[in-house]
Amino acid sequence: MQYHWTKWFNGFLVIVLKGKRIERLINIAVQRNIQIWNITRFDHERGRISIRLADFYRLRPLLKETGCRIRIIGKHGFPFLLTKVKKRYTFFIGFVGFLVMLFLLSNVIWSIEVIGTEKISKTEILTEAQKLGIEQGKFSFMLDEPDKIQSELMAQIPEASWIGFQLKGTKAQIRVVEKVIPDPKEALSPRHLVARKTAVIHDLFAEQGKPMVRPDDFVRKGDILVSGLIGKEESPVAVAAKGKVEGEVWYETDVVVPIQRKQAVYTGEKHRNYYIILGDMQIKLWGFGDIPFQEYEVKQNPWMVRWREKDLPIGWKTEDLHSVEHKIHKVNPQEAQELAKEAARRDIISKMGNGGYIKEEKVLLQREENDKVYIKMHVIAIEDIAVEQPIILEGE
Amino acid sequence: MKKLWGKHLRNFAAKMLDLPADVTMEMPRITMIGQIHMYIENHRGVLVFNDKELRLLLTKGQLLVKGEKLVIRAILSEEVLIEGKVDGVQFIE
Repeated sequence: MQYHWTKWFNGFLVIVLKGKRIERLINIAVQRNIQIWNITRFDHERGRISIRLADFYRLRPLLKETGCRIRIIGKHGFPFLLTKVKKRYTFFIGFVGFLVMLFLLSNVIWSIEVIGTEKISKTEILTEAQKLGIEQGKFSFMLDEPDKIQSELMAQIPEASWIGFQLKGTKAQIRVVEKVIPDPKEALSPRHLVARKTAVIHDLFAEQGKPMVRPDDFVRKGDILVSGLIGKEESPVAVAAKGKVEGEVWYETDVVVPIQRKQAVYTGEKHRNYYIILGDMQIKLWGFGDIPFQEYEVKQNPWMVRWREKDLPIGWKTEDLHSVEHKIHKVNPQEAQELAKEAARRDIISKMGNGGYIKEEKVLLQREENDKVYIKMHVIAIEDIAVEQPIILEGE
Repeated sequence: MKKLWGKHLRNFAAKMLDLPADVTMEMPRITMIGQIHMYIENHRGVLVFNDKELRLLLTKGQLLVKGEKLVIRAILSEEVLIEGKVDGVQFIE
């Protein structure tokens, strides 16, 4: 009973035995390792057994020994199937043909699906795919590997940032991830870029338009840096000049820094008063007595009773009086100079546009007078000096 | 004499090592599933078989299985599997 599948594969016979000594036949067969199974006995002289096809020829000598005769009533298993196939070969050809057809048809691309397109048209992708052989009715094993198709498709359709290709059974799936292309900028009206300040050109980059100056050129305020008129001189085309022009700009600043500075310093002493607030009234509860210092800063810290996000006119308040001492802080001349320079730089940076920086600085004049430091500083700054100027076309 | 000693030794070993009797004593081990299946190990050959009875030779004595529509599903040199309707099992000394 076990290994039924192997029994079937090797083939077995069902035999009717005729004879009186069937038990003896069974015993000898078992001793000689002839496998028999499904043994039944109809009556005294007849029985039925199943036997392996390979063992059948070994059974013959036993039959003589026991005086039994046999009749084959059933042939089962693969070897007999083969002989049947030989007899019905047309049927067999049909069956094999069916299997081949099943295999072939299941490897045909029956549908193409494009997922994820919004701006790119599906037909565009389908035509590109068709060039690579992805077409309805084509065999999928004729195609290149999906990775290769994928990269080909991506090369052909630059609007997509990624394209995936996958065969799902008989369905070819093309998954498209589109690039998010920013909206085109609104068309700018024709214009020049002109100098905002008198400067020496440091660097020039014209994205659109005709550059009129070169680095190290000296320009005055209002000079055209990048012209919006391009093309031949007789028939220029007006465009919106675009670009970045960095210029060296010279600045001179005067800064005055006092040497003596009055600074308030906390001494650490503190006096605290407590109040109860009732509407507009404040009732002092604690903190009576003389304040042991003259100069102080007051910090109030009220706390109102709240109910449902509304302040009620009831609360309490602490008031801290911090003792303060005023000290005169004398800055030494060097420190004063540094402070003055810092102030000068801040001043210049506030005058410059965005993205400017200081290239060079020089103290022209330094003077101490009346407890003050006077500084005159010359600064070379690099900054964007371009400013747009619309072109007004004549005759329009 | 020798045989007797061997038997004693086997008996002793079976007790000491807690081995099942079918292994040491060459006795049949019979497994039944209700009336429909019967699995006999340690037999020594088929004496009589028809659809009403199966008589097996044992090392000592015989085993008689009575029933209806008995079929030997499988048989090996020491094992036999019977199907059908088993009515009775009898040991014959």
